[in-house]
Amino acid sequence: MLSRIAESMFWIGRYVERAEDTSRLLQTHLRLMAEDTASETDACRNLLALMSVADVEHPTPEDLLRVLGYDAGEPTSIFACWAAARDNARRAREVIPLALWECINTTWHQLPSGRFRTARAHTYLDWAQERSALFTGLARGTMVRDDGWEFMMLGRSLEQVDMISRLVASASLRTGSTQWPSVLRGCGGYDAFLRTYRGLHTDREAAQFLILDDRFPRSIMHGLTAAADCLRRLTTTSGQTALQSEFPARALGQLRARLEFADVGELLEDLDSEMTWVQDVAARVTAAVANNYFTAEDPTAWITEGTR
Amino acid sequence: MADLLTHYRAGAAFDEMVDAEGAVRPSYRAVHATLDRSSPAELKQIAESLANNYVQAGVTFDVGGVERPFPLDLVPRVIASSEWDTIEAGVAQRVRALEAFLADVYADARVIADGVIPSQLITSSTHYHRAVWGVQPGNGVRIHVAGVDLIRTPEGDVRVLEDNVRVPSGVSYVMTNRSAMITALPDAFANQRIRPVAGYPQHLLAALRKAGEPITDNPTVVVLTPGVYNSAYFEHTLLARTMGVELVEGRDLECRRGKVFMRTTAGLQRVDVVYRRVDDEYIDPVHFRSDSMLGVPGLVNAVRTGGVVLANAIGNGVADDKLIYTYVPDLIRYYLGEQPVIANVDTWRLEDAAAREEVLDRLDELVVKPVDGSGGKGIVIGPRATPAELDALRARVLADPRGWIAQPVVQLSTVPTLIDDQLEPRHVDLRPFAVNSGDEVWVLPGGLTRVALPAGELVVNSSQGGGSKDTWVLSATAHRTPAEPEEPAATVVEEVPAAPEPPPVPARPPAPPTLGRLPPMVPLRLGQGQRQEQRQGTGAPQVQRQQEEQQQADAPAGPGSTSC
Amino acid sequence: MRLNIDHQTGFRYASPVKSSYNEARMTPAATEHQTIWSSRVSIEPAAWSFSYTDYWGTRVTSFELHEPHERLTVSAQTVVDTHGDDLTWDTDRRVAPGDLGWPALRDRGVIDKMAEYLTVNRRTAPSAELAALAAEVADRPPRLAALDVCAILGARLRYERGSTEVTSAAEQVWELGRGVCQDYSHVALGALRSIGLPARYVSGYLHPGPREPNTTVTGESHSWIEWWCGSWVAYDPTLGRRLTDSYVRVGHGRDYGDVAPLRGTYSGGSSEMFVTVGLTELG
Repeated sequence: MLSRIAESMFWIGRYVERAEDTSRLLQTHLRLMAEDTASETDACRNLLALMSVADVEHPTPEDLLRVLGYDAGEPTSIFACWAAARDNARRAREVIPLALWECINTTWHQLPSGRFRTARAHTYLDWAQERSALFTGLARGTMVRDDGWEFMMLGRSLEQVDMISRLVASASLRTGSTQWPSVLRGCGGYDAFLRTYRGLHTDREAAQFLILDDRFPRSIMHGLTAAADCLRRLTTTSGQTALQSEFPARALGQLRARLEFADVGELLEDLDSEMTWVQDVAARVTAAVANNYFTAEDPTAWITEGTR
Repeated sequence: MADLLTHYRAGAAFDEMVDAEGAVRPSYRAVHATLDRSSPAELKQIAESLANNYVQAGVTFDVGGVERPFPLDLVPRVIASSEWDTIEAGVAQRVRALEAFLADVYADARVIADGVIPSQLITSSTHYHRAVWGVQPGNGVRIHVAGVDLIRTPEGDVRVLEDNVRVPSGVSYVMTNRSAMITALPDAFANQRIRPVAGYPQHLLAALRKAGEPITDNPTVVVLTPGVYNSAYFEHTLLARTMGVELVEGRDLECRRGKVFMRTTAGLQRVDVVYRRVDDEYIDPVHFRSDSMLGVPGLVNAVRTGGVVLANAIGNGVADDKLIYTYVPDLIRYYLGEQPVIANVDTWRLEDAAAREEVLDRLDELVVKPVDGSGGKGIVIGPRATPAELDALRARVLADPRGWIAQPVVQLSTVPTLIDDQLEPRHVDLRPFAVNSGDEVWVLPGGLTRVALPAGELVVNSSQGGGSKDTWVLSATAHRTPAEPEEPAATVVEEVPAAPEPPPVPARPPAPPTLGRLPPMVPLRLGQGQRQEQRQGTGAPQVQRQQEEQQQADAPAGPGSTSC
Repeated sequence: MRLNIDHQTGFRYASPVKSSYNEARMTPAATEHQTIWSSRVSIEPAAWSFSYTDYWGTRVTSFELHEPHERLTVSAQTVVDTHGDDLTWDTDRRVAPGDLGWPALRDRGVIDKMAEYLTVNRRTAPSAELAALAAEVADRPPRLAALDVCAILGARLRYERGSTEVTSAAEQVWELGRGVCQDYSHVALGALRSIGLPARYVSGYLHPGPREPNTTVTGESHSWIEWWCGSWVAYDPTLGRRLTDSYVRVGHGRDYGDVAPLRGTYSGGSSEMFVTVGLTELG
């Protein structure tokens, strides 16, 4: 497929996933703060820091909702994610199914309606998560499993890995045994964890679940495996030489091996830097994929000169 | 309820539905009956659903970056089968004549040597591109798609107002209008046979592939669009999708050694035919505007050496120049040896003494245009000019009669249109689309009917408050009466783009689960991973501006009194 | 005279250019005044190329480069026999028998046919002063009027390199009072067209002398004009004379833009052009 379109599909996957994860994360934090307003500012600042937003002085929950929720001008907001997804979808319109386009288009149309500012934040956030879920469901149900699909899922997986690793890293700086439940809730895995580990919820199990358990769809391992699978299928269809696609596949494989065979206790001790390493790999894989598949000429100026 | 139509009166113009005595014309009987049966509330509901459909599906018209829904009026414009035969023949004839003309002026220019048209008409046209002089397209076709604008005079005659053979647009609305109408008014389709329009993409693709056959047996076709900011972008995507071909922008393509390639994830892939919706001026920075970011350098080289086919060809603009328009009947006679099937709008060339006398007598009623003018300079619209301006014009005409033509202000025909819950006559024109495969010129049954929504407005250009109507060409076979229980809308078994469905309403969210008490999060160091935001290339203001500028040539031009 | 012409021109780029698309108009054509023995265009670095004849009848070599390069050189080598204009009509101020008078030049049909050579644009539009001066000498037969118009601009302008550019316009040049042959030609074209004389721009080469067989002389890529008064009459406004056999004609157009010896389109930074022309009289 056209390099430009492949790139659009990749970013659609990333942005829709980002919107979903952001809304879930935001919702979790708002619930936490609703119950404990003691260090509200700190809590808000933490969340913004996790999302790499540093420029709000004394953040309040309203700020959170604005910066991460509905402000069109904020690049990290859910609104901005959907706007970017729509922009990319518009350019790839002839490739994505009509139902999928309408999902994105409708979401984008309804976002700026303003009512979300006055309504309860949770209504908005639930709705936002539903739209992402709808998108994923429609994509699964209507998209042919071609390169466009693979790029979209690749983007989604890489975004997921990135987001979850940040969330997990946030658990490393707290003391006390109740840090992990909030992390689990932040990625929507608390109930699943309880079911899987039936009563045995220690830090170790929680870390294992979120980082290593391939069966949980939002674990880091699951995301890495999914990304690697996408890459493998893309290599087969694109006819690229092994050398070109080697780097991203190798990087992902090495990371999986590292995590898989690591001692969970050691991981826990060095969680922050381990998770940073995960984010690094995700970033480098993204760059390598862009380099291999998306190279397009920038619109350059053409100069015409004549000689006498 | 007969309310809606009891007060419907045609004005001075020819009304398509009712004649001067108020009797319903035969081709409109079924539509009239349907309207008669409906209440204003029902019609309003249909109108709203049509509008909503379009917004949700993104069928909009971009005006200055703002997407507006393209108004589709629910009352169709109906054309009887026999009348369509004439229109079809006339449109095809014009395309054939202009093809011959283009082949001639970019080669020997016999038409000038034989004195049929003055040389200046060609040499002074800004669309006569010497960079493609001497280039012969592989299968000889230059006008793969044409849009010939037609109007009906108050006397009931169909006339050609304008030819569009550069980058004619609007056919996508023809198809989406039809599919929206089928959904909204299934009964109407059940009662008559209406010629389908969904075959257009297949015809176009076949013609494009035929054009590529000199290059290879299995040509790769692409649609070249200026980009998302272009007002007709929706059409580009629709055509690419329904033809099943790739939609590309200039920077997806690369010309090397006279061959064109597109950049894909699998490397460079050869392209043989480019259905380009980018204007000549922007198409190749090597030979045209060197600051163009929408084109592909080296494209003209590739065309000249036969490595790629462009549809439509570069340089067609000299044929739809308004000055050439006045000569087209002569071109039909000269190249085809036939009489024109459809006449031009009456045009007086003022070098003729009798014509001049008549025109000067009625200067305040006519539109006077300079033959040598370009870009609308020097056009005087009689009814809107001051006496002083008219005197000055008279002097100029007398000083140089050879340099002027005059046309009447044309009252376009009208069709009932739903305005604020009432049906009122509004002016319409028609743009049929023709596809030239080289073997034959196929004309899409119907075309785009544009309607001017403000009362009395004659300019139907969509960027100025216009809308459209579905255009029905009745089949030659007899109408089906409701008594015949045949399958209803099944005759219109078309692969139309699926009618868009209303958006799913977000469900009421469940109450949030109660949570146990959790400690707040402590400060966190910023992660190392880069949040990669993507800057899309098209955001660059210059590229956007160039894409929007394409509007001028691309948008369906409006007729009316200021046809220039 | 039999001449060998070696014309080298090209661009030096500030930084490597990955892609360039170029057209060279450096191939003389056969006319009644010249016979071509051989003509060859070569390009360095190696490029994909093809030839065609353009609208004005000039032979064009079109070529593309797709490998990074910092320098582009086009070399045209031609061997040609030239015959000059032997009749001393310019010094004698003699009108030719076939010349038309002004009424004939103002005939609608002539104006129509010659429209391209009567229209001025940014490059050729004359200043008001020049147009007025030209109008003053328009009372005599066209050929003589043209001679006098050229004399006017010959008196006003001084030949000087470096004071104008490839894109300079006639009006600027007139104000400046200096220019090279391209500028003289544009000024002359505007003035002649303003009095109703169709005129066209001619590109070619000039052997500047001295005439010494088998000695290579540095010449130049030269331009002059032709006006039409029943037939095309060639004249060199820069040197103020009719053509001798030292002139080799490549092609014509409305102005420089239609016959530029080399035009290149590339993406990248700035470029510097270079030109050398060597002419050898073959004895």
